[in-house]
Amino acid sequence: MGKGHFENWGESAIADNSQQTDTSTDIDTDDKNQFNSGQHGGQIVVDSMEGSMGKIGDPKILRRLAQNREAARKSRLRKKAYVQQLESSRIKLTHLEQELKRARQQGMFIAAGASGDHNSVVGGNGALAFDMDYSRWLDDHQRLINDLRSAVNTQIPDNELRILVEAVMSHYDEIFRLKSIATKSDVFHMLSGMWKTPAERCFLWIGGFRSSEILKMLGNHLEPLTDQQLMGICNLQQSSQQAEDALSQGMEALQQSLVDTLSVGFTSSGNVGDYMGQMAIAMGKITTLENFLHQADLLRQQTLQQLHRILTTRQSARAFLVISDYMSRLRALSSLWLARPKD
Amino acid sequence: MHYQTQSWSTYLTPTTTLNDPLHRIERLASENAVVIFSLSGCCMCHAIKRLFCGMGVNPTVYELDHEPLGKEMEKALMRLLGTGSPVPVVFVGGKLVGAMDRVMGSHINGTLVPLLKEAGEDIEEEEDFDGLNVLAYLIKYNGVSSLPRPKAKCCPNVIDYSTKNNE
Repeated sequence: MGKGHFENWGESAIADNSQQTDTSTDIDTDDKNQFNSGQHGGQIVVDSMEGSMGKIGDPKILRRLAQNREAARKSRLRKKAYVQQLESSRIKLTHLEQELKRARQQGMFIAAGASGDHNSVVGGNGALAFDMDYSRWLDDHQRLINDLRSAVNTQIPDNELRILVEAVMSHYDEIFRLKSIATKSDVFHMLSGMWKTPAERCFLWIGGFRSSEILKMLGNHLEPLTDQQLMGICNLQQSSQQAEDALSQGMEALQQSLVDTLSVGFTSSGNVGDYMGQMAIAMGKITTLENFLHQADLLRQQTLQQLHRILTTRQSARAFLVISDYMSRLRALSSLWLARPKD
Repeated sequence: MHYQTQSWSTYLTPTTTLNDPLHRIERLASENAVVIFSLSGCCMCHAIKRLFCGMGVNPTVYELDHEPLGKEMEKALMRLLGTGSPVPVVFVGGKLVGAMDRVMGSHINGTLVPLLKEAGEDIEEEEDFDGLNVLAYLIKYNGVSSLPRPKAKCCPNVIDYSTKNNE
C-alpha cells in the first residue's frame, strides 16, 4: 500500500527524505487538524481510493489512511517551502555580512538611498582609500614596533638597533606622505580624524596628534639625558608649542573669515551672481584649510625628526616604544568604551 | 657695422631699479631684523605673525595689497620661492628664510633662534641653562600648559649632540 500509491498521486517529485523521516511525526499533528477541519478533502480521497483499493474494505480505516497521506503531503510541501525560505535567508545574511565587513573596513555608512552625486563618490574614494591605507600602515607599524621591542629587550648592538629605529622613522614618513595625498582629495575627512578611534579623536589637533603633548608625555621616560640633550628637548617642546599656538590662531582666523564670507547679504535680496561670488570665495578658503592641515602634519613630522636627532639610538628606540604604547592604550580605551554595557 | 657688446646696464638708471619689485623686496628686507611680506586677508600670514610675536619678536610687516608695486612684488616673490603662494615670506637679517614650512622647520630644528639673535633680536629668556636647573624646569613645567621661556647663558649657533657622555 505505501509507496506505490504516493507515486500515483504525483508525489514522486518530493524528496525521499521527507517521506521517510518526517511523515510519521507530521501526520500525528496534522491528523488531528484534518479530522477537525479538512473532512471534505478526506472524503474525496476516500472516494477515489475505494475504486482502486476495494480489497481493504473498512471505509473508516481507508479514510484515515487517506487523510494521513494528505496531511503528510501537505506537511512535506510546507517543510519544503520553509527550507527554501531558510536557504534564501541564509544567502541574504551572508551578503549582508560581507557588505557590513566591507563598510566597516571603509569606515563609512552605506546610507539607504545614497545620492548618485559624482562629487561625493570622488571625495568618498579619497577618504576610503586613506582609511584602508591607514589600517594597513597601522598593522605594519605594530610589526615594526614589536621587532624594535624584542631588539631592545635582547640588547642587540647599537648599529643593528639603529637600522630598526631608522625603519620606524621612515615608516612614520610614510603615513605623512599618505596624509598629504589624502588631504588634497578630502580635507574635511582628514580634519575629522574619523580613521582614529574615539579616545584618540578626543585629543585631535588639526587632523592629528599634538607634538607638544607627545613630548610632555615622553618627559621622564627619556632619562638619563645629557645637559645638551635636556636643553634640546626643552627647546623642542617650546618651539613645537609655539608653532602649534601660531597655527591654532591662524585656523581661528580662517574659521572667522569663512563665517564672514558665508554671512554676507542675508537680508538683502541679493542676486545669484553675488551668492555665487561668495561661494567661490568660500571655496578658496577651503584650499587654505588644506594648507593649515599640511603645515600641522609637517610640524608633527619635523618634531619627530628633531627628537630622533637629539636622542641616541637607544633613547630613540625607547621613545618610539613609549609613543607607540601610549597610542595603543588610547585605542584599547576606545575598545573598552565601545564594548561597555549599555542599559 | 658691429654692435656694441657693452652690457645693457648702461641703460639702467638708478630710477629704474627703484621700480624693480625684486630690488624693492631686497631693500625692505634689509632695513629691519625680521621682515614679513604678507597680504591683509591671509590667514597663514596671521599665523606666522603670531609665531614671531609668541617668541617675543616684533616683526616688520608689509601688506602687499597696500603696497605700491604690491602686485609686482607678489609675482617676484612667487618666482623667488617657486611656490604657488607669494605670501607669507620671511626675511631675517636681510636673508631669505622662506615661507611657513621653512620658518616652522627652522624653528623646530633649532636654527631660527640663533638666526634671530644674530640679527640682533633680543629673544626673551628667563632661566639659566645648567643641568640641575633644566631638570627643575622640566619637572616644573610638566604640568603647566603655557611655558615660561628657557634662557641660555650662551647660545651656540650649532648644537652638537654628538658629544654624549653618559647615557
